[in-house]
Amino acid sequence: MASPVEQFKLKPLVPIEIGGVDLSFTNSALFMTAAVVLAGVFLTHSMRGRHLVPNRWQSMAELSYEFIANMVREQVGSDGRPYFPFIFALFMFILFGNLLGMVPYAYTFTSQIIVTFAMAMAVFIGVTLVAIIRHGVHFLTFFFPSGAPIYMAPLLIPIEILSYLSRPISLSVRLFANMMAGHTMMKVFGGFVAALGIFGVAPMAVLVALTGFEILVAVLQAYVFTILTCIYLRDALHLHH
Amino acid sequence: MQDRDSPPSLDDLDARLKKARGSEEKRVRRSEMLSPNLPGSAMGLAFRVGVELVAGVAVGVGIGYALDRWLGTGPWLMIVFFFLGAAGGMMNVFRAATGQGLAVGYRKPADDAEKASRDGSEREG
Repeated sequence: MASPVEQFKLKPLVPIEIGGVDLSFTNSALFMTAAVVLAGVFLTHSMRGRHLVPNRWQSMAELSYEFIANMVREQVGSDGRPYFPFIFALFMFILFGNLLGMVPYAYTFTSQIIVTFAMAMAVFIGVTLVAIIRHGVHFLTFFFPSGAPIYMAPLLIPIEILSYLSRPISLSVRLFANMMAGHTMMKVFGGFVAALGIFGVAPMAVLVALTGFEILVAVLQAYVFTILTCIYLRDALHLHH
Repeated sequence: MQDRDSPPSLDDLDARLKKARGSEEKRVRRSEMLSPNLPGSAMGLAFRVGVELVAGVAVGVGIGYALDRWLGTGPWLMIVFFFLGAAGGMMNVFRAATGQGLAVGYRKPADDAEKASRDGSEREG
């Protein structure tokens, strides 16, 4: 029987090697491409009609647009509008990646820490740059809580800096760990079904519930990643004195 | 197309949509007040908080270890940064749990003023 973690193995589909660096097109890259293409097709195709009263596909596309637009407006405020395309693209990419992973035999690229870490680092560096560009040196006051006595600074500033630096780690680990744990668990229960024969009905029932739960987690984690991006962006934009 | 048969009903539809959205927003706002800054549900918070603790410690130990290797100061910086990182992680958890967001250097009154201005801009838009 296959190991439950074998599903996370990277398989090079088109081996490419440039200057000794392995740049192969892997199954992970394939599903990333699929997520981008599917999200693009979903949005452009369903908006093609531009009906005043939307049909089913159009209202799904409008729903996802409005969901993120409202999130940006609520969390960031009106000056978060220029960042909406990035946040929306991020949300759709993660959502489609997570949901594509639920298709049997598909590869879940969000279960790779390097993928989620790259996205979290892009958010972290981008948000930090926005804060530095908008606030200049004032950005450094970020690391000292207002109202704290000054003699606490040697202790508080390192703690604040570390808690700031832990953002990309927690952001990436949260998505990666949830996806990996969920898919491993499903594989383990799938193994029980095969091994127990007729008594496999019991783990099968668990598996059905687990599949539903995993779809919930897939959507929820895309949401959590996006809303935390919004919260970080708000901190960067509305840094007061 | 059905909507061509009854063009004047669009204004009515718009008004009804706005009304429904308004009451929905009020409901959301109320639930947000009960649990501010908590996305979705308690489950969302639970998913957020657990990782936060570990991430703080991991970053602290990582930075301490790197500094130790660079400066050759035995295990001491790693130990110091372990505790600082744990404190940072707990601070993040505290902020997430008390609904202060995950802001480093969060300022409450400023946020209130910001919320008021945001509400104002919403009414315009």
